[in-house]
Amino acid sequence: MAAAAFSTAAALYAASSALFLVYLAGAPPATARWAARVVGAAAVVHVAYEVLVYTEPGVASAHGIHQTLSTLSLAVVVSYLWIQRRGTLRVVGAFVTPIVLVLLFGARFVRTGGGVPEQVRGALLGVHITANLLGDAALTVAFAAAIAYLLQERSLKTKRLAGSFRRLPPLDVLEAVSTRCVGIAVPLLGIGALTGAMWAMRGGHGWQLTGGQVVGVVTWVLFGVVLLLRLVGGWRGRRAALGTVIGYAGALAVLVSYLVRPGGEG
Amino acid sequence: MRIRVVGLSHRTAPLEVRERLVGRLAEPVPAVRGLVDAIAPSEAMLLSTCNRVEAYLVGPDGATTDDARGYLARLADGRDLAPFLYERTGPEAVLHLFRVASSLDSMVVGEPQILGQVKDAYAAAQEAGTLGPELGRAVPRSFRVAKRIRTETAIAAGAVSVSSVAVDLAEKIFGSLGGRSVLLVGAGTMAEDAAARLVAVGGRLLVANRSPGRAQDLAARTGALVRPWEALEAALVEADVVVCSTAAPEPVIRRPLVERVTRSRRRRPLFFVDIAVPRDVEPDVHQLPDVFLYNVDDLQQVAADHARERSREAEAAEVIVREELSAYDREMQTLEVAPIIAALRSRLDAVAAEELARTAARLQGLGPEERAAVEAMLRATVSKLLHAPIQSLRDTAGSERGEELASAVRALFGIGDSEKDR
Repeated sequence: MAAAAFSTAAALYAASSALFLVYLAGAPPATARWAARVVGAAAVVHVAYEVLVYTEPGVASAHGIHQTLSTLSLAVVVSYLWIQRRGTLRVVGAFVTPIVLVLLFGARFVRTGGGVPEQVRGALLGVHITANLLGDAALTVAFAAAIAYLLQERSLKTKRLAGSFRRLPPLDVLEAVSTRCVGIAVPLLGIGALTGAMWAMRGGHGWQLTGGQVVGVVTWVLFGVVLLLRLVGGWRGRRAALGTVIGYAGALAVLVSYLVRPGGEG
Repeated sequence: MRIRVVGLSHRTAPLEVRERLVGRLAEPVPAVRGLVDAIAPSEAMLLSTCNRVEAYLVGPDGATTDDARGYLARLADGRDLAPFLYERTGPEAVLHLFRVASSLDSMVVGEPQILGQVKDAYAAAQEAGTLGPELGRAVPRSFRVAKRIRTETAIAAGAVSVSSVAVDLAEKIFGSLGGRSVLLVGAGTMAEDAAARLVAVGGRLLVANRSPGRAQDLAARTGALVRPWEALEAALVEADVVVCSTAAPEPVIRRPLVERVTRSRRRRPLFFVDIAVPRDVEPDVHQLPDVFLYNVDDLQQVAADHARERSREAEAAEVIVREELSAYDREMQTLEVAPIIAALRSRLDAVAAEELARTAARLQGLGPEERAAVEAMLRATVSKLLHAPIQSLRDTAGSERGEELASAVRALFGIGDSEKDR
């Protein structure tokens, strides 16, 4: 049952991704509306999949970091559905849905790390995971908006205004949504890092950081700096968008380090 | 389809002819009433825009359109309009109406105003009471066709004039222009036009000109705020869009100035629209981060690209128009046989009711339930008997075979013309 829900959600995300690409290539506006509707339908099936995975007997072993990837992809989709509700940012789905698909397939097929041992679970771990999930979801949307910004800015600079130019939102709108999402992500990831450190200390790991945790802290600091520069240093436009993209690459590095580490603990 | 259209447009008549007619048709309701009073068609609608004057008519062949030609010539003070007038009849007239409403016959293909103008003409004809069943169906259908084309094609995408391209680009940088400042550097007519369009979508207008007198004149006409020429740098910091059109032989806005300005603006984007020849803004400025510079050639190139795209979309739109015309034609043909079908059904229903009454009188013991069952059986029998002939009448409507079948039905079932028209 869970497998069927997973396949349906993945197929719907793939379909919406294809529809968004067709729309960017010049298909009529109705295509983007349908693409967003398909994302909505996929999200409903995705929620059903999450419920099944966490409640179905025998599937509980999936509660590890890999399943967290699926939950993260759902959080990304919900964040996207929230920002696109007025229509202007609908096409950002063209950049969000491929990431969602990668995360979803990562949840399903990458099987290198294990789950968190029962004895070290607790409320702190819950806060750590939730804050990181929501922070990463906000970062993903910021990243998608930053990519759209860079494409749009490039079209305006090169004066090639055909194709996706007319389909993508205005620069100012993309910049605003990217800044807002980074503004949400930084404190959440800060909470995630803090609770992670506290949890590690309580678990007897002390203050010794793993490679992934170091990258995580560096990414968080980098995003904090990007946010600070945006808010008070007058960093805007292309530089801010590039900062967001680089920061997101760091966040992905953290995620990969979680996936490939031998113990599978956070 | 008995619709006819007689008219002239930007394709057939020069402006001096069009403006003379348009001036006489400024009040749409009296204008369409005047047309009906003059030539007495059974239905009429008058479409009058700066690019076309067209009379859509339903009435006797020949005479109506000749009368319409005479009426339009009288409006043009007796000028011979024959070389400028065109005429379409039946399906060609409906096709023309669909194309006009969808902006496929417009000077700028895809422009949105024409649909509103056709709607206004329809509303005026409604108010004047000059619509009937044919125009009453064809014109609203043209609205649907236009809407479908706008939804399914990109015919209206992309601006096709220099000013509207500037507005489009500004909106792609800033989103809404509400609360943004548009600085006019120089007071040329072209720049004023572009600035007026930017202000129309919400921008606040500032003007800086070497000659304060011209700046004051422009401010008085447009409500712009005047900024001294000596304070151009401060004005650039304040502005979001800068429209340049001075007559200076050298650039008046150079890269070092814009570098200082962008620092003071804390990197807020700055959009230069340079429509001056020679250019007012040093081309290097476009290389600066968060600064966008488009000169008149760039804008014209974009406009030309958009016009080409619209032409490609127009081909897809023409296919939709043809599809809609076929669908409309089928509906109208079905409507033509509707009175015969209604009369045929009514005749057989009457026979069934008569026979039921006669039989019921003989069968005194028939209870309400049994009577209802017999009635239902009779209705079902009539419906089943009529199904095949009605389907044949609908399928062949509008064809020679359809005419033969309709005549046969009228003869076989004794349906007269008056009964058919009920």
